[in-house]
Amino acid sequence: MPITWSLKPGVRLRPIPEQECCLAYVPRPPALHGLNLSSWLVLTLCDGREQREIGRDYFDAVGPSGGPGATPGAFDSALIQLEALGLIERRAIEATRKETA
Amino acid sequence: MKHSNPVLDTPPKITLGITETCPMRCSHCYADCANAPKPGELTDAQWIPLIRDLAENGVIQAYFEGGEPLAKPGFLNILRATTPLMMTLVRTHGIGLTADLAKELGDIGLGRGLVDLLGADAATHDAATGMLGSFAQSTAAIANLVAAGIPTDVLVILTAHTAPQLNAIAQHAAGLGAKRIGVLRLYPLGRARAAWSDLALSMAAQTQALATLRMPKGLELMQSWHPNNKNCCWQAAAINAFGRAIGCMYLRDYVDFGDATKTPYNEIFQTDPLYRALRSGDVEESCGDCSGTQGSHGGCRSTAYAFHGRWSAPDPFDLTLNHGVDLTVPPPARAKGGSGADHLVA
Ligand code: SF4
Ligand code: SF4
Repeated sequence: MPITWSLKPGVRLRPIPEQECCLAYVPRPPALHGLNLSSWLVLTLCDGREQREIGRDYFDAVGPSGGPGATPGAFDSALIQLEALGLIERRAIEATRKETA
Repeated sequence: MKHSNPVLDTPPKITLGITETCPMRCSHCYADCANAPKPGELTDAQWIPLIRDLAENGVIQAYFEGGEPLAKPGFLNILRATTPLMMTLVRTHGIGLTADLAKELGDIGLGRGLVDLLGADAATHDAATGMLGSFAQSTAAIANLVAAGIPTDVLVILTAHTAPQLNAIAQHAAGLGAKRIGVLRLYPLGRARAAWSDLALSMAAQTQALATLRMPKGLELMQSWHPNNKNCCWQAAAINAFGRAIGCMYLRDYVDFGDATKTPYNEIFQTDPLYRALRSGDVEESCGDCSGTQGSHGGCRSTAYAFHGRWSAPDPFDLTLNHGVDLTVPPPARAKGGSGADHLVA
């Protein structure tokens, strides 16, 4: 079943572009995480859309630059890590959406 | 100005020296704290909008220290207003930190507790704090924080009294379920400067104490001696109990960058010439090992200034930059500077 990803409620981001990283605060349970550029990009793309749309935008952004963030699997593992850190949450798409499609 | 350190446009983390009130009388107290609040300390009603403003302007972590934060009237209100916005850490001696209070701190969303120990037994700790029963209370506080599910560190300032007990303190911390032990250098600030001859260790004795530290399983070590000697000034931000921007609590006796209740902190951060110079890493000498591992240069600016009277001087607490400075001799008092380029190089 397709799933969507969004930022967990209450999570606050503190981009530090001059150091090419972003801090992310989860209030419950409290934790502050440092994200590298690719995790930060994935996080900002998690705006409630489907995983494949987010993935397409991610690879559009990192593809041309190459590097470890552009390897197959980098996107999926970033999603898994961000979810484990309590920064994003997934939702299964309701059948109703499929019916109307 | 040469920039050797990492650069930040605005500070993501800040230390708030929330009060200079404390029930104890530690011989080394950097705050030279008193039982009653000092005139001019910000109230909780003043702190809360200041903290909200900091959050709106990019601060995402607040480290509360004092004095004793838990002795600050309205401190829980301040914490309650902060935890939805920022990661919070509270440094305390744990006096009165009961199981109920620890649970309340957990419910409020405190991110981390840091409890100071000044000995591994009541005789040593209580002598240092000037309060009978304080070791038992600090010990109970660590256990209560851990039981409330709050990650908790033990901090120990390395002095002539704590050095012989370092391993025992680490064992005690581990036994109570602490996550980390932070071994901190002694700074010649407040009452510590007056008591320096009784408290301070030579560089060799500090190195020896650290070398003989055997960490219990599961306990992490934080320390900032060579080759971990870092100039963390590059990211430093702090406001004292009176709302003054001071960059770092260890600069409390030496600088005043302005009134953070009147001027936005980011503006002070970006415009004060001394503050900018301290963050830049533009120092006379730097140790390759430390800059290689820590990404910053020249060690701590507070102890460099205290011992040499020059902001750009080498940090004498670094083995390779010490150059024969006898750390057991108290450094002279330094005039409290305002901000300004006249303080950059003496
Ligand atoms: S507990 Fe802290 S604030 Fe209180 S006297 Fe000791 S050093 Fe000073
Ligand atoms: S004065 Fe020392 S402890 Fe404070 S921020 Fe600078 S280097 Fe760090």
